[in-house]
Amino acid sequence: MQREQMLEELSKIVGKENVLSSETDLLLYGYDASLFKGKPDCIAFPGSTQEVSEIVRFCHREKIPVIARGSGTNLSGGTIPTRGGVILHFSRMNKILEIDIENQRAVVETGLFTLALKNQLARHGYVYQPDPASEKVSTFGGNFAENSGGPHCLKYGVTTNHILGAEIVLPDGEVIQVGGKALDNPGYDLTGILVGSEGTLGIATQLTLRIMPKSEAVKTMLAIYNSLEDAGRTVSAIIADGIVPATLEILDKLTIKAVEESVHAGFPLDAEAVLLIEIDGLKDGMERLAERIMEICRKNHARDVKSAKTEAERTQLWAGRKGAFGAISRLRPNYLVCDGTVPRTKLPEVLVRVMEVSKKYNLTIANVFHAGDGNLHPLILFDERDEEELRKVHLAGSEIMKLCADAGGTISGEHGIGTEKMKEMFFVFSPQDIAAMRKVKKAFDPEDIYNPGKIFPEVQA
Amino acid sequence: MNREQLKTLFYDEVAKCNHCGFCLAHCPVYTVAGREWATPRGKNVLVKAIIEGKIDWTPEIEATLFRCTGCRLCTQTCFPAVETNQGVLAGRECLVDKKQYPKVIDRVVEALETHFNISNEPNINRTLWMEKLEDIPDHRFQKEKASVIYFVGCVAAFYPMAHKIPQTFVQILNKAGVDFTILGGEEWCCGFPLIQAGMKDKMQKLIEHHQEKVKEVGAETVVFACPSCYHTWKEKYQTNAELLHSTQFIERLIGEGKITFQNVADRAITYHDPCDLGRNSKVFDAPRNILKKVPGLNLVELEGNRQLSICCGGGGDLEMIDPALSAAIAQRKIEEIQRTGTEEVVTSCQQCIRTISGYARKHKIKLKVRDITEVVLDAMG
Amino acid sequence: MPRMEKLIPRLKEIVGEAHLIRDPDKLKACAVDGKRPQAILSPGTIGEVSKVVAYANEQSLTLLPMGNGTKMGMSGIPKKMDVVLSTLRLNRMTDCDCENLTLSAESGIPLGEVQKRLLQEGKGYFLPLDPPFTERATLGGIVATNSSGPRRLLYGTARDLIIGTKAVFPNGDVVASGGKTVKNVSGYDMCKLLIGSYGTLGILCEITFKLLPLPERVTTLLLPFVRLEEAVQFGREILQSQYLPSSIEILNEMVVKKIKSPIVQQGNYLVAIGLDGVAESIERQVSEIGERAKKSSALEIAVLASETHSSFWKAIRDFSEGLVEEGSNFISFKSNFLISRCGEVMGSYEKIAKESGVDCGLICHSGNGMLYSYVFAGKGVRSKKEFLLNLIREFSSVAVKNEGHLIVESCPPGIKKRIDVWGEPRGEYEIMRRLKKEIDPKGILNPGRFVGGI
Repeated sequence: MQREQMLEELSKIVGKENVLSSETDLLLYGYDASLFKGKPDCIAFPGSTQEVSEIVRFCHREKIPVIARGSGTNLSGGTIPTRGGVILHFSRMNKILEIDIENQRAVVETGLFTLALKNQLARHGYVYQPDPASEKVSTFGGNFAENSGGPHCLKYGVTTNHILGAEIVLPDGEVIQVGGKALDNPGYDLTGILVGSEGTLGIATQLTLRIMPKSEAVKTMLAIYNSLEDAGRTVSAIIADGIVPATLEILDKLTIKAVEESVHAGFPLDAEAVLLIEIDGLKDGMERLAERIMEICRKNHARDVKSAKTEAERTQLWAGRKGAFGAISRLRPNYLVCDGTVPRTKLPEVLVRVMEVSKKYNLTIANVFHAGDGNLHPLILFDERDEEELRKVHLAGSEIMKLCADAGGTISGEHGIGTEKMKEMFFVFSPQDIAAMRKVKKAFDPEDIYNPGKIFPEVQA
Repeated sequence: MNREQLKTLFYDEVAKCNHCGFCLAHCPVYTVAGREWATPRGKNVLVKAIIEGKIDWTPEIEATLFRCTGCRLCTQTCFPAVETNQGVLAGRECLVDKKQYPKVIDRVVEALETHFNISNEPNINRTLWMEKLEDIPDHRFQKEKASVIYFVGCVAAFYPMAHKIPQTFVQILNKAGVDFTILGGEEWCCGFPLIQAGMKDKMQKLIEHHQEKVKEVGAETVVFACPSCYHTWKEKYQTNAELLHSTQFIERLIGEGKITFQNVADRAITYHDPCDLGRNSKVFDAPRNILKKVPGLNLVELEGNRQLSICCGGGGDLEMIDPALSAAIAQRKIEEIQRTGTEEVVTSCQQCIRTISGYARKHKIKLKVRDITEVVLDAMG
Repeated sequence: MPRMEKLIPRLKEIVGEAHLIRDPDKLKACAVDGKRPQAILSPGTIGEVSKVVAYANEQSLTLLPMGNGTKMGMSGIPKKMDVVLSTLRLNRMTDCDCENLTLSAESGIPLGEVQKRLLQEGKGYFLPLDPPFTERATLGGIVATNSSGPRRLLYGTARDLIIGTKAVFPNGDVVASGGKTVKNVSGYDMCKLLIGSYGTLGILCEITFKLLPLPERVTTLLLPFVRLEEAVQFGREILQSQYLPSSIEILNEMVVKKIKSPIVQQGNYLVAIGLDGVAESIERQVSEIGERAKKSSALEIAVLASETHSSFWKAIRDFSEGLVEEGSNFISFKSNFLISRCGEVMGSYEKIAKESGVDCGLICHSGNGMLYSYVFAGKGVRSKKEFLLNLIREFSSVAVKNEGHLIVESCPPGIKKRIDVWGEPRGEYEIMRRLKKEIDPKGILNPGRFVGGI
């Protein structure tokens, strides 16, 4: 189809002011927070489900790829227009449609920032549990597509456990409602398969979310170590002792340094690792539980353990964790976040092997991760402008995924496969496994309109 | 500035941007525009692409780089603290050298070159705000020698909506017995609009003029009620005189017992940190300390306060270049103010007052917008 | 059945002679809605399942997967059922990694056995699922029917607890999804597709669950009320609080009578609040919730000690099993709806039943908006068919009005023929049919039993 004609058609749907197509804009929608780049044909800003549906119907007819996008914070290249097409930027669809306290649900448009809802819920004493590090800017549509995690997923589960229904625009433009406010609707769990499908099966325009009363009490502790492995062992020991904290987060020496330079969270600069522990729930017995946890930390050679005394101290500790990725880029211009995940008992041994990869490629690797989930986030530091270094980074990243897979883990815990890890899918899946997924794709999107060139390896194994 | 110079100065800076996108949550321009071009991330990417020769100076780049309020909230909230605004300003300099910039800027430049003010009026009109004042001394606040210069600034001098600021501030200084002068027709623009316009090399004449004036008057202190003049002087001027914002000066006068408060205010207000005073000059406490001293005044903080204050929409020449965008940002600011539950916002910048009260008036929103000097004078009685 | 005879040798070859049953009595025992299989196959490994399914697919032989058969009456009448594929020999716990809080087990193992073994591991662990048929239900059956119980309020359901599955798809492929990590976004979440799919997409062979350490203490508060509104209001109050009950059940008098609760004898509605957690928090919740109950109109406040606690909850979970044992004639339903509408739905059902002149037992997971209802039709169901059909329609419209559905879980075949047990069709059924068609083009897995004719 002629480009002009495409722009004209889209303009008819959303208005001329809501279609962008200049060279500059194509460059601006060719990236996300990953290392990948592409180029769309144009960008449209739908204002309603109806408009999304009409755009998709048009693209379906003309076989034009459609890529949904929120804030573009994706770390695996999930929103990269690798095969051109229309980017749907959801910035205009960012309203909270309903906060239904009685039924413990919220209904939102998918362009809404995660934190924007949480701030509103706080006024009611309610929470939406998932807390991706990017929550202040990550949109619900992005959380939905990636099945985002976050530090509190250890206890409360990931995004999929909190999305109960969705309004979905299918690749042919049809609009359906899956799931809903009530639980256990009859039929296949379409909500479940759509969450985490990285925009390849359906585009969500509205989501129905589970919300719950805020915990009565919370306690945040910090354990300081002279060895990263000891921190890792502590995590296993806490879990094995039958305690399931809300979070268990580890930052290594390099990360501590970066964090301290940017947000001053109060982490000691000479420590090899810090472990951030949070428990929540009813206040009763919390002190005793905290004492037991701190005892386990000490047994595992923590050189110091302390707990936040005030809300301000707690916020401070969390600022350090939440700001870790960004702070790393003070050390070198760029970083690649690996997202390998292992059974938590394998953490100590995998950490050692990650550091071997660091040595092998002579690359600096910082570690900051959701230890309780076994979700590693080795950050490989480099300068994108150095092509040789960039090449090594990709190799090292792949090698880390491999060693996670070999340890009984997986290649992505929460960032998705996107464009980044397609070929690594074979580290964890057999051709049969992938063939079954392709069938699902075919049932939803036989023409491969939605976010083509993602998840599935290009070649058969 | 050309591409090579841009590269030398800013390539390493913009390369630190990892496109994480966290700035999208804060950027006032993105908040209302909702387009990637509006984001600090996008601006970094474009400057980098220009440096790398991946894109030419397109009309969209011009439109983008001239739509930044310079509030620097992005840098404040960016973990690697990328100085996006510096890149934006340098980009504007490049665009100016290519004669590719909003034509409205030419009018300002012309005004500055003919009359040394942004208003394109005879510079002698700088003191018209005095006309409504009663009991002014014969020297009309213009003395040959004085220990303090009060630098009024173009906006407060020429725009009736902001006249209140010099009117109240001179009364405060008078009551406090300060030996001060204004420069009257010898006060020129500080050069701030030129920096924002990407023409900072045109400001040398202005700087030298003012530096000379300080010497002539023999002033030890220059006081500004305008945060942008204050910031510009601090950044670009070389003088032995002490540079203070009005809030800092008032705080000092209170400390010295030269200002005392007689009247009880008895109401709740909120305070908006002007970007050039707060985040960019790090003056957060002085205005708060003053407000705390006013009997009965209850300060309710905004959600975005101090370092995290959100721009009113008036920064970076935006009001001149894209009034609609500026107004949309002002609307957000007003909504944020309203969420505090107070009916009065106090600030310490004539530009913030213009943007906020301008929007409120136009849309018939009931909101009192006052400069801190007005609050101080009221309380002095 | 000449065709079947031709296929038997190959099937025997795959599973071994001893594991292919053709004994008419045993086949009769496996009949579903009056339809009888021609053979029962019990493969012993996933590899054998794969071979059986691949062969069945090739030969267009329909398979009906079955564990202990506790839920065979649920779902629609099979369009065709050539062979029952029994999972009972797939009964191993393949990876019990309590330190990692995960368990992988084969689908044919009963949950009761799993729990017993977990109890003995280290400090004691459990799989936080408490569906009906406590002892006999197999993991595969529970997951395939997305079966859950009262404690889902705190612990969630299969979709929250399962992190990996291994299933044989209709083409014979062994398809693995997820794994042993509690977070996993590699590829599509195929586990979700299989949970609650009633064996129509694949034969579940191995499932990996998240485990939890046993709570320090468990207890139950029983609070009888005279009026439904009072009971519902109290349940809601607790739900909206910061307390962390594991269950908030509301039972009507009929149910209380049938489970022969030894403790509470008065009131028309019983609110049962389950509490799991650390000792201090249990103590405080018991006393504070009790305090609140006193202030509201609870007739008494009974606290169950651990032994009576277990038997009480077992009686609730296994309510329908008890009814079968006592030989009751009943139709059972599962309804879902908005959490806030428990009172409306329960009240309406009781009213409809009363007007129809039948007794009705209600067990409501009030914190989740799930209601299990049992209508006792008494003798001569056949003659009452029309009014029972009418009652089903009315129940269904109440559920739909409250943003939910009515599913008929068990009813006589004569009634089943006249209704869609899954209730009102939903807009998403078309995409479900497309999924089924892509994955099982020949329709060999459990045909005709699922929603939308799948």
